Amino acid sequence: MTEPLVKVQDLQVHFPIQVHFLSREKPVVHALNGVDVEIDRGDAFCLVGESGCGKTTLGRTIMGLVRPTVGEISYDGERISGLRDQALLPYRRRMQMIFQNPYASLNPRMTVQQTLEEPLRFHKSELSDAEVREHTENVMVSVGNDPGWGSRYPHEFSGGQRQRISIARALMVDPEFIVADEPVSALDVSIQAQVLNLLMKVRKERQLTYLFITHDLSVVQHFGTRVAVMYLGTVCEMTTPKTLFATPRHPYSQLLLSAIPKLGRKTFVPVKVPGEVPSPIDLPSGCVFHGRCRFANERCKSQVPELKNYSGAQVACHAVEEDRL
Amino acid sequence: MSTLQRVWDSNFAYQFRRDPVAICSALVLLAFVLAALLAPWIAPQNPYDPLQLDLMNSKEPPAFGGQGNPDFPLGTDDQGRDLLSAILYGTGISLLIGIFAVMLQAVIGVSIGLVAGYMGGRVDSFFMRLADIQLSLSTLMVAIIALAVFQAAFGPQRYEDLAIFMLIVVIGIAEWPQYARTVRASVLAEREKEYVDAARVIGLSRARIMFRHILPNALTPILVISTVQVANAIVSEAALSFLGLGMPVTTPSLGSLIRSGFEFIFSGQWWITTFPSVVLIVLILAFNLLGDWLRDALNPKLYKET
Repeated sequence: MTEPLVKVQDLQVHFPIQVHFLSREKPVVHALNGVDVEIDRGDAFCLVGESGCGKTTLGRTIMGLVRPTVGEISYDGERISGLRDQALLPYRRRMQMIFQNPYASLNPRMTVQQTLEEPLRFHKSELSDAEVREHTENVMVSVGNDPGWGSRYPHEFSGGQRQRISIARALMVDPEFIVADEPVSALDVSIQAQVLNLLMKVRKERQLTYLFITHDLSVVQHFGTRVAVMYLGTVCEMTTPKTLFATPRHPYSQLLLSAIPKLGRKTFVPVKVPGEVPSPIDLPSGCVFHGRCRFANERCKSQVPELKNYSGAQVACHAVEEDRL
Repeated sequence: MSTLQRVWDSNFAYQFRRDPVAICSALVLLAFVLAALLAPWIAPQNPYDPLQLDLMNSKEPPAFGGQGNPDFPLGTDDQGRDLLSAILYGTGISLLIGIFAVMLQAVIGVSIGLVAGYMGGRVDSFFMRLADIQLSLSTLMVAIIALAVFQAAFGPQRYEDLAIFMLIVVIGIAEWPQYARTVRASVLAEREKEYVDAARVIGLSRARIMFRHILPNALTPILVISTVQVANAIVSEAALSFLGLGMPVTTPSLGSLIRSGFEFIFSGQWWITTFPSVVLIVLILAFNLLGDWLRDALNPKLYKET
């Protein structure tokens, strides 16, 4: 088996909460609690989960925007977590990110041309002006933008156009790995499909690997080759979209899938679940889902389940392990 | 030509054209700046050249009263200096000190505000406490102490030559927290935006992100406070000169002219103080009105009806 492109081992990220500086307690938000993820070359790896489950934090930590508290991230076999900014530069060329909100991710004071040229001139300063211009034009065309947009400012474009511009910016340095943080959730439904298809097209053309963060399960079905379901900073299930949609194994995955409304289904009976998502400040002991799980027993309350292989799916659940489901 | 057209058509220019107060204050300022710049050519005499002064002409009343000398339209001061010329030159000195002091404030304040806002944490706390300390000492107090020490250290002769630099430095340093706080506030808002993350993902250095990406987006409030700060700096300079710590009598600014005439106001020579005071008031008023208008025009939340 080949080495995965991105390997995340026991990743924990804690954010300190602002308290009075004389206070003795130092509460933290446990955004990620021991995440293990492997993304193979060529994957379109989807991360799903509800708001606040840590999927964006995972993406940002892999990109080096957030420092991990515990754990290790390797890229192409080399450890990249904890590196200095300078040492990270060679990897910055190979991994890029597409952001959620196209209205905030482009600098309003820079023209499209300046925005696109900046990463290229920074990473490949040996290129001549003509080469930079040519490359920019090619990338603009490949994402379906008019190359004549260069001298205009971001506010002159619609959301879908801006998102295509930020996709173009990510592609400028010819990366091999792209983290896409809910790239379509801020867009109009009619534009979502267009941008998704564009992402799929450039993936095929450039053999890209994606980490695709989303809360939309239909996007996973349409787009993903692998999928991880997250809940409260942990991965509960990791498998292919096909397996997930056919046979979800983790109780939380089952719950999540049951919440998708389907056309033609007369009666909509969602799986009932008591309570609310616990606070990430003081996490429940054992399995983070035990308080809301129908299958929870004493072991779930005390012991944290680990991801284990079950014919095509990795599931972190004692009930699945003990075949109680 | 097309840039000119774009500027003319912009919302900003449109609002300007519609606001008579803004137009008036801009015109007044323009007139003052031109008068100050052209002073060597339009002033009847050079008030800094002792050879042109004649003590026989001292304390002449303004010409328009019917009893003055037509050579001195606004009268003369106690040294026989033509008041109109002195005001023209003095306005230039006041504006020069005001503008350069504000530039110094802006450079110090913007850099500190940018670093404090972007770095956050301890760096932020350190600079902001420093700003609190600076603000708790009034500008005039700092300036009086500093200038008094300079004056004693350099001696009056040398001080006269250096006075203008000293005033710029002292006023510039005393007021940097205004800028630092304003810039920090907008940097805090800007750095959370995704375009900053995008710049970090590219791998750009902190300095480049701060100055190339964040600063241009945090400039609007700087422009607004700058106009008000120029007015403040001119007032501070006038106050210091009035106290005898600013510009010397040989190269008077508006403040020193007011001071030099103040001794004679009760013996009937009212014009020596009055004319520079009127000029100072109009100048400050124009700056402040323009600053108010700028603040309204650049704040989209304040779009006025109709």
